Amino acid sequence: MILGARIQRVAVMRELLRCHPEWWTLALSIAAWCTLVSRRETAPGHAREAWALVDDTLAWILMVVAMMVPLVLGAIRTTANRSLWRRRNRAIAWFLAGYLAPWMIMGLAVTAAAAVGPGLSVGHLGAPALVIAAGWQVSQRKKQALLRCHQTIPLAPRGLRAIRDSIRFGGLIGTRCVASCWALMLVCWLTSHQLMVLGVTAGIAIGERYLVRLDPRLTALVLLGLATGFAATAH
Amino acid sequence: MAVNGWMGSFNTAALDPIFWLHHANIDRLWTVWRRRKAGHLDPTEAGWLTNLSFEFHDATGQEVSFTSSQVVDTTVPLLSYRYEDEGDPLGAGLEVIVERTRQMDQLPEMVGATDKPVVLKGRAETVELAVSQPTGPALAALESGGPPPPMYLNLENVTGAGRATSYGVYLNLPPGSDPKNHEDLLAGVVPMFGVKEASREDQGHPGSGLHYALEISPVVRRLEAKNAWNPGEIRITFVPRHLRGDGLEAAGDPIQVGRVSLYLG
Repeated sequence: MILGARIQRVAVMRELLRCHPEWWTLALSIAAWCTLVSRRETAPGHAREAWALVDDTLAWILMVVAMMVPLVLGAIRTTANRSLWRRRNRAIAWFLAGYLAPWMIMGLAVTAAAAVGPGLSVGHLGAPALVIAAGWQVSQRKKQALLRCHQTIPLAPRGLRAIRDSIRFGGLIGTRCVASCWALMLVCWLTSHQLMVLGVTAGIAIGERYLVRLDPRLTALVLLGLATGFAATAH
Repeated sequence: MAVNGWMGSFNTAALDPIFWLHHANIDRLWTVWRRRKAGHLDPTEAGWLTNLSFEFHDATGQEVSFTSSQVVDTTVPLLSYRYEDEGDPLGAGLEVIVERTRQMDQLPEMVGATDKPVVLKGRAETVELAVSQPTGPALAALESGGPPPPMYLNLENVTGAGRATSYGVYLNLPPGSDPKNHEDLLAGVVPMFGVKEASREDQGHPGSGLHYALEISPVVRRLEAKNAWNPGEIRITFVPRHLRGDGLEAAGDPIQVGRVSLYLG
């Protein structure tokens, strides 16, 4: 009886994973969250040692994977469903490579700026960054950028064209994501990846992506509330 | 259903009397759906009820503005009318549809697709699909000994910049033959209504274009019966539905079909 129930559970799990080819990207995101949490406990804030740039870049990658990958699960599913069954996971991997590229360019720019200008990432800039992010949330440009994150393109089924198209699709969605979420990610960076800020901004980003009728004014209010908190603690 | 002429575009569709019959019937079917079950309720969010308003002209030509909440119930003022026939057209057939929907829960598997877009310029255009052996859920369904999984032809990312004619989509149409003599090979008609708007990146659309899914299982069965079906080689022919006087070409702007793909399941 117990063995039968176990076999049934395994079968259900296998079916679930088959139906959701994006599962391992979500697992990557959860692993990145866990790493971010453990890093906060051991070495809070940005490193200031000689290897600061490497450390900051790693932190940026973790932040992007943790916060941004859950936003593109739909595009990842589209990539998998529009690919031949045997190359679904490869197509997802190429998509992710393309998707992370624009975020890496932004990350390198931010970490380089932080290395050149000492003190750029301290809490003093958190409140102004949150105010800017709140303004961006209610702008028309943000609304348009968010909509464009849902675009799809045709994907070739086989060969180098299939790889190229998966990377191109990932790059397109990544660029659109940067255009939509740059302000939220900058807030996370300038507040030294404080977990509360990461949680709130991730909640906003996920909410505005999946809840069609989430009022942007509400997200702006939440960010302004956070800004008030930061301004109060900075003085 | 083919759509052409005034009905072929968002901005001119209401100039065609058929538009009013068509949409009045859709509104009537909405009422039928709401009466069918207690759980069939409209959403209550302000996003569609009150946040958007639409401009019209009244009988005197004055511009007036309404929100959906003002017209969603036809029995109260502003509209104050009730449909003559609110009977359920499905009646006892409803359970059959529910059962069919359950069967459609099987995971679809893509087994073939074009690797380049197809451009339609008002003339007949043929593309070939290289089809692979299924290796996922479609293979399992075939090996289970049950009925073969249904086959769907997907037309993905259909884009265009202007008005376009409707196209008939034929499966394995013999080269050089007159499509009118092979209506049994017609998989469906794609009307291209709204293609211009769906192709544009604006505040309402991401610009991905239109998507169509045509079930081709009945056509495949007819081809199998004629021994004219090879699952490894599939030919798709797009034929414009409304030709000009010369009988060769249709009016309208070019259309690009981003990808034609075949799904099982």
